Amino acid sequence: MSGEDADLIRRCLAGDQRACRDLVQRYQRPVFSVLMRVIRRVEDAEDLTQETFVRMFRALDRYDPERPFTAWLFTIATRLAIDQLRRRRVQTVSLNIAEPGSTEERTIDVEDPGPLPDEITSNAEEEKQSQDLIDSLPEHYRIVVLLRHQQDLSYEEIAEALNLPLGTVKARIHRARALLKSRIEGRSS
Amino acid sequence: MIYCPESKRVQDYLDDELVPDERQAFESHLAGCAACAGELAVYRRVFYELETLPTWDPGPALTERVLAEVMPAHTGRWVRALGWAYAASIGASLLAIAGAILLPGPRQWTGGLAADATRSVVNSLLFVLNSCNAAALRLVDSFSASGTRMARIAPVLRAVASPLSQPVVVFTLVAAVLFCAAVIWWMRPRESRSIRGTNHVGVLGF
Repeated sequence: MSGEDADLIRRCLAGDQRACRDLVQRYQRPVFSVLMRVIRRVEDAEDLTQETFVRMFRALDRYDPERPFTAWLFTIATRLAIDQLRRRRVQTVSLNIAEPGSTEERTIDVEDPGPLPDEITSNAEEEKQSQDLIDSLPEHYRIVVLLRHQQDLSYEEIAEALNLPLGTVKARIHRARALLKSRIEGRSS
Repeated sequence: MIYCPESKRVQDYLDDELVPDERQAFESHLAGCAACAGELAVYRRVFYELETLPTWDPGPALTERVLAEVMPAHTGRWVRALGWAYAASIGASLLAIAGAILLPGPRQWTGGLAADATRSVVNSLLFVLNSCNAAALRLVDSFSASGTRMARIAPVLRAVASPLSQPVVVFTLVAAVLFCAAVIWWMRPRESRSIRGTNHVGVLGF
């Protein structure tokens, strides 16, 4: 945990409202961005971002400072996102079927009627291509690569946040990158 | 493209997951393997695309929503704006007072105003003293001149009635009575709790 985070948390626990505001402002962009990528609905992502911070503040006195703060915060955020996806199972973007005793997973893509993140940002072609690339991934792959590459969490931290075995996290990240690689190769050929 | 079994290590290499010996061996292999070098280039592109994805800020409204939920005592923006407006008005008043004291033109005007006010106050005090003096003299006269009880009380009543013949005194007394009645009504004991949940205190002990 960075010294700045530690100082903000200490001041929040002492009841400093300015510190609480700074803590929310510091992390609302990364949390909202990951939730937008996973949930893909602005209103739902906003509600879940709010709920993430509310739960964070209510549990702040039980937070273990030895643990990275970002990992702890994203544990809350991703668990809320997964619960939300479970509730919306009927409208889910993809289905993930694992064979018993195997780390390989099959994915069935289903059309998602929700608005895409690119609908709320610029239409620059390059940006859109990047977004299409990540949006093309099934959500269980999307979460792990976003936590790994956007939030810079370690494999162990992601495994803890998502409550998954370390091997499954590694396999998903490698598989997600392989999918992206094949799509980039297809795009340039 | 030719497949190389060593290409499975490309992701671990980019993740910095290889131990130093493995890393050195893979780098030596990369120098002579076009397949692995090609894989490495495409995976570098994948890593770049993932790390440069755009992010979104939900804006200050979300910060306020969070703080409003976790801090019941959190003051809203309009409250703070009101506070700043109040502070600004106090500041402007202080500046105006300082200007009235320090600048030559306004200082002259302020001096005239202060002299008028002082004259009014002194006149009022003199009026009150004269009224009291007249009342006391009549009282003393009546005690020394009359023998009967009623004859003694009559001058007292006249002495009290004398100031009451002045409209200013009557107006002041009526205003004071109304103000006292209002204060007593406000301090009456109440059964119900106020909106904020604090009990009203019956100051008079009713």
